[in-house]
Amino acid sequence: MHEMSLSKRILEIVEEQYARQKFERIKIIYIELGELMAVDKQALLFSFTIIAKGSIAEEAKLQFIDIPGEAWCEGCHKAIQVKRYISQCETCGVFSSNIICGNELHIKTMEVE
Amino acid sequence: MCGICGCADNTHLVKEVSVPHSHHHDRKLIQVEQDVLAQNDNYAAENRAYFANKKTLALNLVSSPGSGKTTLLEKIIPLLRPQFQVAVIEGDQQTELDKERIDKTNAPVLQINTGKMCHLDAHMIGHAIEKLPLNEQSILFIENVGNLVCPAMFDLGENYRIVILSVTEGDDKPLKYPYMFHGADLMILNKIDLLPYVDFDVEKCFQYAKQINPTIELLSLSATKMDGLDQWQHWLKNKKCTHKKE
Repeated sequence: MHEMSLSKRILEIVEEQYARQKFERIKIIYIELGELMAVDKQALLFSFTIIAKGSIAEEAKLQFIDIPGEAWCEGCHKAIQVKRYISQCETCGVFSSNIICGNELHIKTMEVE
Repeated sequence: MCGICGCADNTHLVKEVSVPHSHHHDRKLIQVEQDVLAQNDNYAAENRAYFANKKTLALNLVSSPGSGKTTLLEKIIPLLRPQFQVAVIEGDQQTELDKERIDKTNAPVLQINTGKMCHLDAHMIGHAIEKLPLNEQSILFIENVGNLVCPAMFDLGENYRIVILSVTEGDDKPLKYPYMFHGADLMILNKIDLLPYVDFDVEKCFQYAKQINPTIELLSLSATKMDGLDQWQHWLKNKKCTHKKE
């Protein structure tokens, strides 16, 4: 599953931060996760637990900041909320795939001590 | 928006962090602000620049396992060879079986074994392309790991992404795997020689693909019977010529 690759990259990013400024441990990693992103939260949490064993992030919790999906509707000429990557507009019935936001996987901050 | 932990206090649709938290800024917080996929995107951009510099046309072939990617390559390489120099990167979890098949076409081929990973990434491709002879006559095929989900997330630096679907898989796959079909430039429907034996509606499948991706191009063929392969040959030549002019 690709969540393993993503967990590995999350660990690399936080370890790069540790190399720049020392701390005892990472407590929480705040991650913006778009609703439309093809990432399963549970799979990411699980794989991160495995990947982070023995590292500075061993005890870190992943805290998700949910970003709802928005797409541009060509029929209505406005942004609409969407729950899926390809959605049918409830107003005009046009299928939208022009995603404005909801595709994020972004490490925002981390709490350390 | 709180610049410390990212919770929203403006009119944007971003929801607040689901777990209650305090705003006592005596906690030690480090701003990271990094996209998890940015590193892969950077490697992909480097690959893209490398291909542009070598004037090579690079194609990423994606599909579920068993759709006929390797057979398609075995059949198309001899048709392209006089005019173009073909090189191949094969991606599988294990074995060199696909490399051995492509070896018989005499095209230079490199096998990447991804082990536990379910997709190729741009870093792997970056290392592989250094070992292949690429120039302005080249067409590079990257046969990705058979998987209709994960490869969609990882840009390899290719010029075009081709999704291959076979008639034995079901005509509703574009709807079920939207990320993959949305991210593809061309869909090849393979194994059309088996249509009399399966319950597959070609028109419906193409309709679904266009619904997911209005600009996707569509071809149908049989690699084993070499029926319709000339259409793909024509598409490749056309893309190569357009690519050369850029």
